[in-house]
Amino acid sequence: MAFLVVEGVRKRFGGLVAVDDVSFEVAAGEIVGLIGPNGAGKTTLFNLISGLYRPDGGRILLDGRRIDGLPPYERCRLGLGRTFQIVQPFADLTTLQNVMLGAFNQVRSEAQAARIGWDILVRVGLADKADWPAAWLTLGDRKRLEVARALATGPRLLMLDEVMAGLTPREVDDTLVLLRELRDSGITLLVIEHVMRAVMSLCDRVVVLHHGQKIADGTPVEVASFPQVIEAYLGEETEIA
Amino acid sequence: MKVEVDPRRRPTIIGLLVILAILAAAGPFLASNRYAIQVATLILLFAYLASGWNILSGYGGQFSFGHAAFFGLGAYTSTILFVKFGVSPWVGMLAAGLVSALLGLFIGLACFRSGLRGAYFALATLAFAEILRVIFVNWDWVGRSQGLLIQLVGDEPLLFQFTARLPYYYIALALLALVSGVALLLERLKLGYELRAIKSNEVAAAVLGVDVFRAKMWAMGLSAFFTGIGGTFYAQYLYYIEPFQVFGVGMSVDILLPAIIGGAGTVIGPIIGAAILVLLGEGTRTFFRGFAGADLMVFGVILVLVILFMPYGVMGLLGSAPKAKKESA
Amino acid sequence: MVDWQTVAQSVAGGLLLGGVYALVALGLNLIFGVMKVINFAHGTFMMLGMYASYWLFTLYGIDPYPGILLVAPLFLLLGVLVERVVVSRILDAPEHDQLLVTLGVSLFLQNLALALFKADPRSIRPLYADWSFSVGGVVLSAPRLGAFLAALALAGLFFWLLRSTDLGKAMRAAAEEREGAILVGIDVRWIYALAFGIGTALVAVAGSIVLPFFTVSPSVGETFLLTAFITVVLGGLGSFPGALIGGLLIGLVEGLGALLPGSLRQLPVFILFVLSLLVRPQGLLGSRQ
Repeated sequence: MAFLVVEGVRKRFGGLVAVDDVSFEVAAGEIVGLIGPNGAGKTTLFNLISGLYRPDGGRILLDGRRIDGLPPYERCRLGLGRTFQIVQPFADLTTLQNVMLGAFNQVRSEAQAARIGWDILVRVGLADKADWPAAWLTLGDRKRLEVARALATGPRLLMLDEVMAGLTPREVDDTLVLLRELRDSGITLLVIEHVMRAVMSLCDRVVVLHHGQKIADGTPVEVASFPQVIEAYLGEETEIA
Repeated sequence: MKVEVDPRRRPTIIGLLVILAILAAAGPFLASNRYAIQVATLILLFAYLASGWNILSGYGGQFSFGHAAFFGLGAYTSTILFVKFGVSPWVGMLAAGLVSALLGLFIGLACFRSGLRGAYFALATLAFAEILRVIFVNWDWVGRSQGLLIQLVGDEPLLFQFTARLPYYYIALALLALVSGVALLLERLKLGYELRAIKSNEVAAAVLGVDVFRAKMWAMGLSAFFTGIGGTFYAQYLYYIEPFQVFGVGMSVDILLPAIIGGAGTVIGPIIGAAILVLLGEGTRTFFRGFAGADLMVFGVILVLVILFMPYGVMGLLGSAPKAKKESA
Repeated sequence: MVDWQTVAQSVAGGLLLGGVYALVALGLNLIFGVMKVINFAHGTFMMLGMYASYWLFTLYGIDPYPGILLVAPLFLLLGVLVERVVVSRILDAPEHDQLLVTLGVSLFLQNLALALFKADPRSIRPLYADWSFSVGGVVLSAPRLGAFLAALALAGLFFWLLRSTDLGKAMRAAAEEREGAILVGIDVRWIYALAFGIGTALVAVAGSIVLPFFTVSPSVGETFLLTAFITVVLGGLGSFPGALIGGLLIGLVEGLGALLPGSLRQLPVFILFVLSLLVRPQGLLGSRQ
């Protein structure tokens, strides 16, 4: 059985159907990209998987276990980590303390959490700013902190929401390296991304959403040539996300 | 290579110890002037109460505008136990804390489970304080709006009564030291991290594995516990309690203002804030004699100015909160 | 045993007042809906509106109803002023800061009223104070009936404003999608100022129409704020129809409570509030997240 199974998931807000009968799977160790034009329902899908929204229909399974009824913190305990598009560190805490909060998902004491947190900061390259108030970090650093925080929870599946948005090409490359390292260390990745070259080079498979529906599911090369996908990206008026 | 988890921690501990030492040493000198020691005791009491409020609202970010509910309930619990059943107020103090904590858990259950947050939570706490006030005003057994009087029995330490003012000063100081210690401890515990994360961004905290409801309930219980104990002290200090005073909005405001002015979510902030506000209040009352409400008007203006120009309070000005980046860093 | 006549009387009186509660809650909802700010000073403005009408009546003999023509613009101005000077600075601040600022404004204004007008409760006796109408065997007092009808008219005016005028549409746009509204050329700063001003004017007028049968004192604002809040919780956060239904329901329960002695009459509403929180936290018309 695949590590993450999304089956027939639906979500509507009033009259708007944000996610319409979406099904896909993510195998353990894969890097799967979730793409689609603005307003396609990608973040809504993330919110459904991570537990911020309750689906109106369908099921979500993590490692064979049904999670669509569980609150977010329990899903995290089961190994689901998730970052947000708009990064917001905990401003009252230092960089290290931010990551420690995630580490507390695995340990109980401050000392243990600090150890885990420190190792992760070293890994993502933020160790030199560990005792800075998190509010002092640049956008690029905040994005790394966001990933570090989620990493500290010890996830088996890490969901990243536009982690490359707003980064310089150099930063994008660094992030790609980091993400591949994460996968090599055994973490499965599901990423929402708009930076196409990142998607193409990073992902094993790509799922394409449009108007809340899945319109394609395959390798990056396959999907890029689907006429529906091309039309979705080119023929769309710009919507405010 | 190891680094400090929070560089503000050591200065805070040192600062707190210095302040407590100075306050302890100042006792006998203040005692020579009856007015001075009364004002000082008031400062200590409100520093204590604000610190208790701080646990839920400063650290946890769940702003309560109704802490008078816990204060008043604590005051009444120990006073009823003493006046009606002869139970020593020391025991009553503990009972007061526990009863208030229970009320806190009930209010927490009602509010947090329904996701009441921010202003709605604040108003809900206000409503609960009002409910208690209405209940006690209409309750014959506790004296209705006349309240309860504690009989003066002279110097009876075991019954929490002293003819001198100095013992009360030291008791208040001990309470302040206790709650400050708890706050310091909290900053190191998982719960402390969870609360501060919840204050910043509840959704992000949840997704990072924090059981938000449970953390809030703990904060509520602890905060209510300490506030209830403060109510007992107040009752034993003034020998008289009545519903409008102990359950009123004014008391709730008096409890939270020192924390805001001094710096919510810090250990020392409430102490500084209490000193500023009590002294300011005394000054305003003396200056605007006969002008009812003048001190609260001043407080209102100060509150607005503080939030607009120094939202992290005095501690924020001292660099104890993240603001603009330091040049040297 | 209380007879049905008395109960019906109380309930009717309560329902009439409920219309006013609905109006107060509408103002609160407007400000919150457009600016995402809960205005702690909302009740205080109502109290000030009552005092304004009181002095207009006592000093110049102007009845509260025609007095609305003076009170409404005055408080529209006051609301805009408060918004521009204070509230606009904290629109992007954390919610607890917004809370505290409006609390500060409320503290200042309430105690200003206390300092100027003293704590003694005051009331007026207009011409129609003792008039009443008999409707189906139930006697409705003219002041209460007038307040109810006025509240209804104002609510209707408010909805018309929101639905059909450009200003209303701009407000709804700013409420739903601030960035989009700015992009389309709407000056959201003035929208916010006007929303705050209108919300304030609405609640001040509510004070005016309530004065004929309600005593005013500086602390009366707190009571109304609490009731408005309970109304909003009951009806559903952010729901305008919910505010209407909630207001009437509160009025009804209060009417029943009036049969109880002393200030116990306030209890049924509070109990309803707690029950509402425990049993149906999203309110009658609110939706679960």
